Amino acid sequence: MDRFLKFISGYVLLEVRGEQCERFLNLCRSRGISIRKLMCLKPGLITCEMSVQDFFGLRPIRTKTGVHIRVISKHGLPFFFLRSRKRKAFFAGLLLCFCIMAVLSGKIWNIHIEGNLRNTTPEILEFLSEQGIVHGIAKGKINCSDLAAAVRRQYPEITWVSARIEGTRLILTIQEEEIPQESTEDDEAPCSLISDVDGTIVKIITRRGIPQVMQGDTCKKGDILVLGRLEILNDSQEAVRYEYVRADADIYVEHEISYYKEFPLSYEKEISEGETVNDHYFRIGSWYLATGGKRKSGWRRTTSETQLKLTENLFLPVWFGKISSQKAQKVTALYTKEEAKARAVQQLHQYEENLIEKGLQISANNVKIDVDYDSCTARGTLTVIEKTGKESPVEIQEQPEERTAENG
Amino acid sequence: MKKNVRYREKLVTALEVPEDLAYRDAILTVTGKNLAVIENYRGILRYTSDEIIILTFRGRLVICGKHLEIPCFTRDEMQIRGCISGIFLEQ
Repeated sequence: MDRFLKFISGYVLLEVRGEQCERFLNLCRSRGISIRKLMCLKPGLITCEMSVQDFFGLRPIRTKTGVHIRVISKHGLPFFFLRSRKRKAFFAGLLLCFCIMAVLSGKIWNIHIEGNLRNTTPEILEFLSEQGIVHGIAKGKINCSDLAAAVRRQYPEITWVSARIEGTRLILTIQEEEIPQESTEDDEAPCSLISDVDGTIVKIITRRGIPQVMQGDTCKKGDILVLGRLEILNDSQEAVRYEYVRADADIYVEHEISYYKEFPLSYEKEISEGETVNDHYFRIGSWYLATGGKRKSGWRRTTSETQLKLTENLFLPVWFGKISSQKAQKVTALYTKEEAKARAVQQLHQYEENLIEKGLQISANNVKIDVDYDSCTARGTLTVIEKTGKESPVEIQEQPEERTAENG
Repeated sequence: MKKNVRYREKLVTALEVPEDLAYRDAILTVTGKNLAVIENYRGILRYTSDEIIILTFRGRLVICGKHLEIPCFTRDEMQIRGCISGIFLEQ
């Protein structure tokens, strides 16, 4: 930084010759003139470096001490401009550069959106572009409060928006809130819960409705598990009327699912030969410029591509890519018995993980893996515990007649 | 006079004023054999590439060596760079 400031303000390298060099130095010091790189070449001859401003204050000191001062060299920006004063194109370029910077700094080059979780950044950017807020828009055309209001109107789940301009950045800070699901009439319609699988009830917790099964009972697909009709009984245990509710319960059913997977023992394998050859390419739109020649068939290629972007959301239609090519040969190979079993186990684990992701618990695994001369087969059953309870409309029955003295 | 000096010393000790500020003593910091920094000095009496004599408020400071240069010479401090072989204090 110090060197940069020195370059900006300009400095001179001086040669001071005379009998009173020390006095010259002391007078410089007392007048606040900073001297750098002071060297004594021989008694009565020193060289030093000082700023241009300080140099112009040396006249009274020189008169007092009688030393001879000679400028050896001049450095820095002021001297550079002085030397380049005839280079009109250079100054024109410099001026143009400043003008372009002034114009470009009056525009928005980065739209930054933070705090959004439910609404993705591209989605909000698309909405902004519909509103005319795009990269490169003049700052003066943006009304931050109107913009914030428009975003709030468009996305009701956004509870708070702050739009502000910092330099050439437009920053949108968003706060989202989960909207509680509005209960509709359909949600409150009475219903029963029926089973959608055949199995054994493992656990049942009823919150609303009358349970029709107990823990340990077996059920079939379509059986009513929790009834959405409540019978209101009188003292004689007779139904006086029916109340209909929306049945709500956690019901877990244990059942078996069959598993079958078979794959041949022979497979095609690629064997790499030789070193990897890396080629690079440059793409603008659909126009390519690549290094390296065309590779014939029998090469395995991996391409990685990076799109050039000026700011986080301002992408240019320019891509840089790297193609890694390696000669490869396809050969037919056979799994050994151990390899085939390991692959079958891996496939089974993958299947189990998929089931677990769906919310199922696996309580038993009865899958057997057999390897014969040309294929590997995994077959058997998996015992799983699954949450069930499909909503089904409850049958509306006629309300029982009220007993009177006449009808007994 | 001696009494005045004693009172001054006592005052400096009591107020915990740094001695270099109170008595305007020169501060000499030497790093290895190639760099010396001098603060609180009055001026240069003699400067050659083999010897630099510096005037302080309490006497003279003589720095001997070879290829002695002064990279920084300001009102507050002076740096001396070169092959320093000896430093002497003269009253």
